Amino acid sequence: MTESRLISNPNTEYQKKSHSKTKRVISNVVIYFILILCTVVFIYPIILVLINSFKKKLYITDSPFTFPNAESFNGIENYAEGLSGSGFWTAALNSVIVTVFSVILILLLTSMAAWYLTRVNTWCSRLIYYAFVFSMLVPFQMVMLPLVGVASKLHLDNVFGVIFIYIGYGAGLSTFLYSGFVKTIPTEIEEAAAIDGCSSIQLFFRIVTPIMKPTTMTVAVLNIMWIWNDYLLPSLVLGTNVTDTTLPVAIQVLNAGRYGDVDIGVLMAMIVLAIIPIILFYLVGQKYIVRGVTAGAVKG
Amino acid sequence: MASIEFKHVSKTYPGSKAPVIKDMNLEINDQEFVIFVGPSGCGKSTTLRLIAGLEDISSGDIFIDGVRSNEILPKERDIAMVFQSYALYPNMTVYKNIAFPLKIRKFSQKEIDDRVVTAEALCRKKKLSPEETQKCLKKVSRETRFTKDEIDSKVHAVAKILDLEPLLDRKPKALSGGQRQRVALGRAMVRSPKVFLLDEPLSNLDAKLRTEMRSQIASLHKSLKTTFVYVTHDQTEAMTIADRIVVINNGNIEQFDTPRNLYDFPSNIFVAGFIGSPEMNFLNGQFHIENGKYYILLDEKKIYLPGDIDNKQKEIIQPFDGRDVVLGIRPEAISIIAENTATASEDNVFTIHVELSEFLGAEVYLYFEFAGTHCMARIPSIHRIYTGDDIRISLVPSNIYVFDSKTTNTILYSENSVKHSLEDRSEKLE
Repeated sequence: MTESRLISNPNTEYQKKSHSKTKRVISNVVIYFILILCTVVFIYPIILVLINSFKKKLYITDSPFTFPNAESFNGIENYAEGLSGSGFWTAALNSVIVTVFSVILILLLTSMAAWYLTRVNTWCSRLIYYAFVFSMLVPFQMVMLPLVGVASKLHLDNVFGVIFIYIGYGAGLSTFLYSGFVKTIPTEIEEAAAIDGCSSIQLFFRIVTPIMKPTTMTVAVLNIMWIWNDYLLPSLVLGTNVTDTTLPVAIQVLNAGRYGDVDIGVLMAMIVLAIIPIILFYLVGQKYIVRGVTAGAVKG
Repeated sequence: MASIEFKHVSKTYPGSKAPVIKDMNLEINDQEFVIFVGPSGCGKSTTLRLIAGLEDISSGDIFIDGVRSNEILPKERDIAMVFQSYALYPNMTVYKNIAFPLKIRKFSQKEIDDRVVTAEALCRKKKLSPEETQKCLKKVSRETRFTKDEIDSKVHAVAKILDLEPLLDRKPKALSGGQRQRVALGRAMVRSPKVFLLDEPLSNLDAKLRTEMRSQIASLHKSLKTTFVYVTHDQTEAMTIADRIVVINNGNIEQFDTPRNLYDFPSNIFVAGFIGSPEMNFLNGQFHIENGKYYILLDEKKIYLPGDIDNKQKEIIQPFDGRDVVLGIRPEAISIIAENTATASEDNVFTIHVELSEFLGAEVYLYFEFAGTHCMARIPSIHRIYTGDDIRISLVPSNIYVFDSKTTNTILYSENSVKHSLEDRSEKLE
């Protein structure tokens, strides 16, 4: 090899660098374009609902994709009408009861189960763990019809009964997430606490639970969003009586009617009201979702 | 303060056929600093966990302070343990970490009675009226846990000793390795346990900090006057701070003795090889007696043993005449004979060819082949010897160890070892 070939040409180096920079800019532009497109596709329906919630009934069907103008703008009339409708507040209370109690019990029971199943490594504990994981793979639609029968027989077809069904459905993913995190907690910490004088209950609540806080937030956020928004389970188990069911079903029932009879403006306003709490909650808790799901994925 | 006794203790983990600890018998005296050393997987940490109650004993008994403790829960054994990873509670500050054992622990009835007696004496000293005394005693007898003030004073006292006071509000993640280690020690110290168990507490620290903490642990032992049981694979740690060392291999105790005795009088090849750095040189040969002189034949080289062996030693070694033995000599026991220096006798003086010379500052490691075996010598760096040199070495008879090649037990000095060990122990007790 000659000396001239060993020494790189500065001009060629510069050209190479500039070429790679152009390539990077183009790829970034493409990526951003795709991401913006995805964002628009996902946010568009929500924006549409929000826009139409401020329009008069007739203008929604006439020009659903336009912003409200002086003629079509209905102020907060739709919201006022929706809130004054009989049953909205009862359904909202039902949703709060079902969501809050289901999530609290899911957090309490699955965190305990996951801790025990992870620490007690027997064939039986492994079998139970895999049963939890398997429950995540079964689609709800496959079991919904027998479930209605079982719920009716066990008298779970009421606001408090449905909480137990939600615990069952939430247990799989929650136990799975908690187990993954418990595996990353060094057993020495628990042993140190046992030597320091903790009983098993104290050990769980005073040491393990505070350490599991990030995963608890993740599990809470995921379950709150799912249970609050769920339509199918309450519609099947709780029925369509507005005072006995949750908000998503109630919104549908309160505004049911033949084509032309339905006040879509009010419907849109109620949907907006129903999703506001969950969007706020998501904005607060979304950082925990990523943190909790990836916890334990990388050795720290 | 407590003694610990192992009686025929064995431990086999579920699903494993081979026991980790095999029929262990051991007696650790009150206030003694005992260190377990051995290679990885030899069972030293398991032994510590058995004392702590973190593992169940498969057979045998463990007595702590004379009480059979096999079924006693860890929290009721009144022990404290410092883990290799420190096991600090990540969600708590340093203050809360140290205070935790005091907050969580409920007093036993005996402790409550003791506190009442102490309070009564204090009231008498303060010359309180009978009504006030009664009120005070009633209050003390109702207390089942340390009060907030008691916890606070104890935590600050410990933090002061360990120089942790400026760090009390920090969380473990904001501490360095050495600081975490001190917090773990503080958490162990705060409730004045009967026994301290330390599982490789210095292994995560850098060399400088390790030396510092080593002396801090040794001085802690002196000031606390409590039994310390310590596990390490670092023999320097063991040799510098232990009263006695337990050398474990494959779940068996190879030797339990003072650091001095382990070095001078190892009971077998394993201990001789494990204690001392660099490792002892071992050479296979045959033991012979000729005209009342004892020697080992190594590849046609005669290595003479000391002539002043006592009668007991003679009784042990004489049956080995003509049998295979292993000769052991420590690298630092090989001496260099300077050029053109005449020796009184040419016995045990040999010329070797230095294959590699490693300069380490204060000393030099020499690697050479002797009687078909790769050997090593550690000499002061004042001798300027380089790779490729031919030099004369002397193997001083009194520094030579002889081991039975079948049992690997020491056949020379083993009796002395017992004698020396007893002397050393009686000195300590005095």
